[in-house]
Amino acid sequence: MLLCLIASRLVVKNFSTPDKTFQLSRMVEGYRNNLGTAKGMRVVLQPGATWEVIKE
Amino acid sequence: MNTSLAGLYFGLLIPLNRKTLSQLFRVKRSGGAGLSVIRCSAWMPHQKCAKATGHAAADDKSCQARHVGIVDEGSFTIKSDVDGTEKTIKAGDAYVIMPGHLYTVNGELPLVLYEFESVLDDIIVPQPDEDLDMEAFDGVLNRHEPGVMAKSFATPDEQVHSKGSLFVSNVALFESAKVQQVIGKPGASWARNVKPTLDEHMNCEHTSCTKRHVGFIKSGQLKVKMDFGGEVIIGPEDAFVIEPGHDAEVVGNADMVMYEFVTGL
Repeated sequence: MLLCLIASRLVVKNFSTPDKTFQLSRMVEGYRNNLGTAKGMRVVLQPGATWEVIKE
Repeated sequence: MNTSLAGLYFGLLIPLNRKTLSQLFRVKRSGGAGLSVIRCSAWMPHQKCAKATGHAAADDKSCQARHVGIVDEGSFTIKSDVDGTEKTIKAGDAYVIMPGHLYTVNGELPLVLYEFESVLDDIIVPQPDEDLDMEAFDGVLNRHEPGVMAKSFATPDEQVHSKGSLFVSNVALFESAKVQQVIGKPGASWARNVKPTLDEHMNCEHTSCTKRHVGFIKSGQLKVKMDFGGEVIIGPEDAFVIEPGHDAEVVGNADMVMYEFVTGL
């Protein structure tokens, strides 16, 4: 579901249909919604993920 | 001072009075309400904005983003490479992590996080007819928070009950952020269960909720009705911004659980 309603007074976006999906290595997936005056992100990191691994 | 003049005034002050500020903050108008000073965005891991919070790390040896979020599943251990703070953060925790940190996902299950950043939860918002409070601005710049902070919703800093306890808010307070878990029983509504207490407490009549809400629904459903007529039911995995001027009611047979974020106090 993705709803942007009524002159941005109410913005609703579901993480199942994000504005942007990104993948950092095989260890991290992110789902990002731009809500106009805010941003929301759901991030899934696999076991063993570390900063050192992901930055590669 | 009108908004345009305030923008000019404030835009000039930063480079003149704080030579490094242009690297630390960006300045934006916030529609008609004056100006906003906004923290560097915390969304991409390589973003360089550590200095904004007094954390000096500025290389890729550690994550240079600021994070405000909650853990939904799993756990991870964070270590600040600035002040050495180390914490294990687990499901049911809210956290604020400052730039300059390393992390490891623990256990054998994936870690699921939700993070939010609001561009209107500003550090300083001078109103059009106000002078800029440089003292407050200095306070923000000099504020130093621990590198890693985490709090469990099971032992909240504040717990707020609405009338009949149909809404319960578990609030985690941080120096620069506030995260709350709101649990609503079926049938709970702002008009019936929150407004009476608010009216009594504030000694005035509210026509609708005057708060701005940023967050997401974890489970259950919430019907949001805007003052000007729009209405929508939001449910699991819906991220939202609800501006002031609305009513809300938990619909369906299940409890509604949502999380709200104020990310730049």
